[in-house]
Amino acid sequence: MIAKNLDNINLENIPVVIFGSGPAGITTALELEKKNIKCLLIEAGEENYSEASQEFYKGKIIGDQIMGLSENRLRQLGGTSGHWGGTVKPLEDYAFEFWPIKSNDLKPYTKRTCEILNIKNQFRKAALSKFFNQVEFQYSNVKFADKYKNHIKNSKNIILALNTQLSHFVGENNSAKYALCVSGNKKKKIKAKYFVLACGGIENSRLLLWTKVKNSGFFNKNLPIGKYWMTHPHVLGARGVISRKKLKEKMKNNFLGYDNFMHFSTTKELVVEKNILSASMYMLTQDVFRKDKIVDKEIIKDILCVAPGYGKKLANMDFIKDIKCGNIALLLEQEPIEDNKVVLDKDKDIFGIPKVKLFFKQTELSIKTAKLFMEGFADLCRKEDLGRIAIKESIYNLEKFELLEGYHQMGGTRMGTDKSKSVVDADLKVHNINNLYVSGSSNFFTGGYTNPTFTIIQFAIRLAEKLNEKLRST
Amino acid sequence: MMILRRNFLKVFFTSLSMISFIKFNSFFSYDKKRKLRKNKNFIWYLNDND
Repeated sequence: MIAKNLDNINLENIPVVIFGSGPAGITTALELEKKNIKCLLIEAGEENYSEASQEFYKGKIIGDQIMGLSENRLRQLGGTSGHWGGTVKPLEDYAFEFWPIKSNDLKPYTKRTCEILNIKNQFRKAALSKFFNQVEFQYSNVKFADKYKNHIKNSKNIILALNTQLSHFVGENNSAKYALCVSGNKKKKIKAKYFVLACGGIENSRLLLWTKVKNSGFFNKNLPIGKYWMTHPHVLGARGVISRKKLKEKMKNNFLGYDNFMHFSTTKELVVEKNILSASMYMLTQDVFRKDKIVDKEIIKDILCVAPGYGKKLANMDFIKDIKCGNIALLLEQEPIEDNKVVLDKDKDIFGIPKVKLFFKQTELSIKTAKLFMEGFADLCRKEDLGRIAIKESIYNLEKFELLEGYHQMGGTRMGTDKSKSVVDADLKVHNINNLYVSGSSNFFTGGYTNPTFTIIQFAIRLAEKLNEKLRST
Repeated sequence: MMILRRNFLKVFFTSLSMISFIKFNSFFSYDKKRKLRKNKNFIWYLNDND
């Protein structure tokens, strides 16, 4: 059922309360429902977008600028899936090197994740060289509110309460006793056996930090809540031409002939040899952006100007069928550093909860990664005559990236075994608290180069399994 | 001795005739020389003969 607030909801005997109705929260609720476990799903926002609700997400950014905090996430049913691009792929195996779990721990949940996202379970990878792979992403059209609203409305096991803001958890003796919420202008205490915080990559940190302030001694003193925050630098990094025919000749049967952006990524060997982070790139081709033909013409003019010999060769190729031409976007990993963090501001919202202050600085390693990744790819293209690539001058000169999007918010409650450097354990349980779990990309130890939603959902399904085991054993 | 000499000359001249079928540039390093050219705000990674 869906309720406007908590007013008419019986809050007795609820085994699991989930805060946040984005992809992480809804997925866990759906999986618990399949196991016949009742849960209360709490959403701070309304059913649809509203400016008033978005106001709560406003916060300060200190350091390098990224997109505003009330623009890059949505406070409503379905969360940020309401405006996401839908590009998904599991994290690379080598991205888990420093995590407390490995990619194999998440693989059992891949099929179900694909069902939830309405995508094909196909993420092929083909070697272009020792250092570069052609990789395949899938594109989901799922907005969680649209897909699951009616399902939740008719569900007996999922109770969704809208317009209910979590303030903080109250606990003692390593257990969260209740969650204090504001719903319909009233303060409400919600008790449950297990609490799951799934409010997104910034809000998870804010609410745990406020819990720490309100309950001194509840969390470990050194728990690094809010720290090691990350985003994916997503930048226009290069432009150029690539010959599909030459690529096919080089890759033989391995070439992935999918009809979309051509994605290439780093291999583990490149990351190790160059001592950089992982990265991926895709060409915004004329096939995808037909209106972008001005860019194509500009690029060809540039080639004729700087490389007339190659330009002539290009003129003899089948331009429409063979040549891919366009700008190249990079999606880069950003390393987790302690100084990139979510902290509580002095300003408070109308519920008395401090607003967010995000400290963010681009790191030299991400900037170096962009240059060495693109330089390696450009060299491969010219040596093997696959095409010709031009790198943006600012990246070549190792300058900071221009304004970053910041749609992907990761870290802040990172998982790990070292209790001074992580907030949750491998099962997503807050260290030393028996019944408080955190779900979402805030748990990521590192970000890889991959869009985070696929991994978020894999984790959310796994969390439901863990909660089921706990409930059955008690 | 004569047989050895004859065999050597046979192999030598046969090999020599084969050379004409082998691409001349195969004897040199595959690595092409990089040439950088700036145009507008981009740095093009080109080969020397581009």
